Amino acid sequence: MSSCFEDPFFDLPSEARIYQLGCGPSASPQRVTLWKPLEIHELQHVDRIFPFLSIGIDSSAARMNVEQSIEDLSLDRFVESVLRRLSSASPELGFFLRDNLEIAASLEQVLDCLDNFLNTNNVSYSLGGDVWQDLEAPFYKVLEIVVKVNVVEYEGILRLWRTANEKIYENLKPSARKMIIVLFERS
Amino acid sequence: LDPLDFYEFAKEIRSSTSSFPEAKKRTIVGRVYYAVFLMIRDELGQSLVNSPLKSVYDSLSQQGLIHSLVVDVLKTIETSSYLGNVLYGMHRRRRTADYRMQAAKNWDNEINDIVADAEEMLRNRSTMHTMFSQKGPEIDTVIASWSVHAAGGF
Repeated sequence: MSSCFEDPFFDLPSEARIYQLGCGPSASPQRVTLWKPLEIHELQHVDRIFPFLSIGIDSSAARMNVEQSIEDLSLDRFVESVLRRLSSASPELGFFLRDNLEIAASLEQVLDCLDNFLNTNNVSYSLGGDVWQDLEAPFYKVLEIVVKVNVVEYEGILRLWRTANEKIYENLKPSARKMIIVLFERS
Repeated sequence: LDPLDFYEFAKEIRSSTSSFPEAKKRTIVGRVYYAVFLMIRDELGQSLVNSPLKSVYDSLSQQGLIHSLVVDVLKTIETSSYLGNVLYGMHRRRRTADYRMQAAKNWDNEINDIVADAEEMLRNRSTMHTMFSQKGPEIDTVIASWSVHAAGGF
């Protein structure tokens, strides 16, 4: 695995081929003290160093590891970006979205529509997210998005919701339509 | 027993006094949910009278998973998912009322909200009836899927 770190600009023993790389493609590689050989998948900022690593990769297996790491990182970032839109989200929701990227994409779509709907109607709100699993049927999971609405606005927003609900759901894929449930609660 | 008797009973006890006000309010939430849920469960069962999966549905409808199965059917046959979402919301309130003893809720609001949901479902009773009679193949698919999962011992 260490051969992946071969760099055309430095002539270091293979055990020492680890560099601290700056942020972005314009940053220069710098030699740093070596503590121990690292596997590529152990690196924390693979996306930041990818432009440099790509020069020296000569192993298809290693390339696949890097690509997988980058894919994982991109997935994590995407899921994090979705979760950040919720005021509260259970850890289960994060795990679930990482395992169900298609649902995560649909959830983002629902959140876009919800934000649009609630902002258009000048509603102050907060969003929470959770996964509910039926103990009687563990294969059945529901992704709950709870919209907490000011008590004064509650009745009015529910009346408007039916039309909005239809518009939001009819554009979702069937699997996401069945799994994502938007609920309203008084805050 | 007509399941909607539970709804009328819930209204009746709401106006009565009790030495256990929170227990009474939680009971009302549960009875309102069951009135609507059982009405839909039974109408769905009646719509399956000519389906080969009728006996499968009847068997599943005696099990705890039937609540989620009915929601799943509604969300499958209605592109807006609206009625399935409303029924799920009612079920969620019922779970809180029945199981989460520490839940700090304004139970009068909970009753108002679940009654509003129940009225919405009752207003759409004929819509559901029509959907059940028109969407037989889709409903059969959902029931078959649940049957396979259930037979797998989860």
